[in-house]
Amino acid sequence: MYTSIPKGLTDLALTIEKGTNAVISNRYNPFYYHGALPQFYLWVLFLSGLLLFAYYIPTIDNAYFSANLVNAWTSVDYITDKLPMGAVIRGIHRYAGDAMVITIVLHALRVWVTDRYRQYRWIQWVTGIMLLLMVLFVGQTGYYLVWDERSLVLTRMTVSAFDALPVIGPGLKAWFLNGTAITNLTLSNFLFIHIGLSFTLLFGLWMHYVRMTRPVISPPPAINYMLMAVLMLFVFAFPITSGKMADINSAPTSFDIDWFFLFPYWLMAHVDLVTYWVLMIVATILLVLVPLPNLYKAANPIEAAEVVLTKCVGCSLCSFDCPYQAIEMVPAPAGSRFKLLATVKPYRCSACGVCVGACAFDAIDLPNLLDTDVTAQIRALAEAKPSA
Amino acid sequence: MDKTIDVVLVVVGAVVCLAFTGLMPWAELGMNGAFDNWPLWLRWINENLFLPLPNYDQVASMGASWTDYLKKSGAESRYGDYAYSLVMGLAMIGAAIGIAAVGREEAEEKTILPVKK
Amino acid sequence: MPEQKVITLICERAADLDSVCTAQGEVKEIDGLHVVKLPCSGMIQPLMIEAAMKSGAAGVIVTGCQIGDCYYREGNRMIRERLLGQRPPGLKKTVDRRRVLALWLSRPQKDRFLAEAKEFVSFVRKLPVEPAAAAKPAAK
Repeated sequence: MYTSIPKGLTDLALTIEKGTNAVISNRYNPFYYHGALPQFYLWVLFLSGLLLFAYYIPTIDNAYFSANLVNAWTSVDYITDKLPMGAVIRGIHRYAGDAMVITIVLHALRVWVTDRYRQYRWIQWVTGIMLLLMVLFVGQTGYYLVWDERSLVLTRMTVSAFDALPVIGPGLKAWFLNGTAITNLTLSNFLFIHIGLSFTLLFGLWMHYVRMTRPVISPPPAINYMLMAVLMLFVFAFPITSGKMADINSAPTSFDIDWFFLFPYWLMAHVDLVTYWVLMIVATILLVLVPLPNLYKAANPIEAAEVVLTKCVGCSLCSFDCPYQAIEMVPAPAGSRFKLLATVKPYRCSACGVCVGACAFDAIDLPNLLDTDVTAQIRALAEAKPSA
Repeated sequence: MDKTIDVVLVVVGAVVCLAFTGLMPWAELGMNGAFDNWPLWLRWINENLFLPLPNYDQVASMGASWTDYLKKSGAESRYGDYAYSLVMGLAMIGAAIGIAAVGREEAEEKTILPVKK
Repeated sequence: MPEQKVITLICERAADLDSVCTAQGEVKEIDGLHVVKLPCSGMIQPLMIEAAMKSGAAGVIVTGCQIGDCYYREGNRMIRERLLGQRPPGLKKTVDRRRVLALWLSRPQKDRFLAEAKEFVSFVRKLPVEPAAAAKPAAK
């Protein structure tokens, strides 16, 4: 058990968990809701984003010195300085994004440390990595939208990175800029990517949850308050400010970096583009392959549960209780006294035995731990004479 | 013994929550609770129906130091909004502590089955 | 009178009792407390508890991980609900509820387990010897 994880790490995680339980009890231990934390922040982002969207104007109009300039930067400026609570909503949107990245990484770490990422859970791990990449990209497009000098540098860096890719590079660049140069159309494309891709996250989440029965997607209210309060304290402690308005004729070179979203740009600035892409792609592939080695030399090979066809009465209890949706009720073969028959999908089964506990008819078994054997062992132990 | 800690936490949480909730209108008025800043309908009620309005004189100095801090951090206007965010955040933390102290009792490490009658 | 046995049905990922057990799975400190390991507490059938009682065990301790934390997602919640009669299949009415204890303890909590188990074992051994007869008048 837990053999694939360095022992110190497992012990550390268990100790932290025990301490947390001692203070706030298992009901509020955020370690037991770690997957629901980023999900909560996603709803916060959707709501605050909707409010920002109402006032955002995706253009770069650059009659630069005109007095009544209306463009992306001035609309963000208006939201921040004029709109009641605009600065607060903007700050919440920004910090909820950062918080989402942090909670996703914590979620992944916890899943890894507790050995809950491989075998029958590989699909959750792989979609999780995809979701993280999508969240990072959506977050980066958010930084382009502000259209200050940083946005301009980031856009240009992204364009040059796409340019360095063979074959697909020119296409990606044209897609990204929505043309051949930075224009008004570029910003509306950024807005579309930012919003469109963030809704695509829901599709990714569907894949993330699809094999789980009753996924835990909302933390208890007290934790929600805490998560929200943290954002609001940050809004005050570190007010969000824009840089100078982007001027397309200028060439700004340096900018403040947000380490949660913009670390790829730091890398891009320090290595050449070929190395950058190789590193990014290799890192992604390695992350996706994390569950792989253990697929082949797993410590506990899984022997899927088996239905005893002559005993199954088709009551569906095992299929309701299966945590991985591995049991499907199919119509019983002709001549059966019952309507339904349970069947196990072996590739989804974790051999946890919850179905054995759910069956009152002794009709489902783990091949390497028969419940009749367990019962016999219990009987033997209970009847044994005390050793003298 | 645990019970008393929980009761204390509930009381502390409730007091914190109420105190900071009370500061929210003050922050919303731009950290200035002066009579002239209140919305018209409240002033009308105050003058005609003698409903007392809260007096925020004690926290005026807090408003000044918070504004200084925000100015230094780069915020440009509507400092009251930031303050609103802060006091609402603190109120929510108070609420969270209170709720968690109540809900903690339902957590269980030990289940004793009720005897069937 | 020989001491009656008490059986512990435990999830192998819950409180780690390896260090306090003999090779046969008997807890060293408490005579007659035997440990049966399962991959998940969700695998425990109420039938298993009934079987233990019928064979003369004084009581059964069910141990799973902390509620909220289950390696297989919800196994400990399921057995908890089954014991409380909120999810089928449940315990038979004839089973003396006083002789069943459920503990939800994470891996490092073996001391808590030993303390609770000691108390429970001495409690069930003091209960009237014929549990079925004692429970019957109360049962409808």
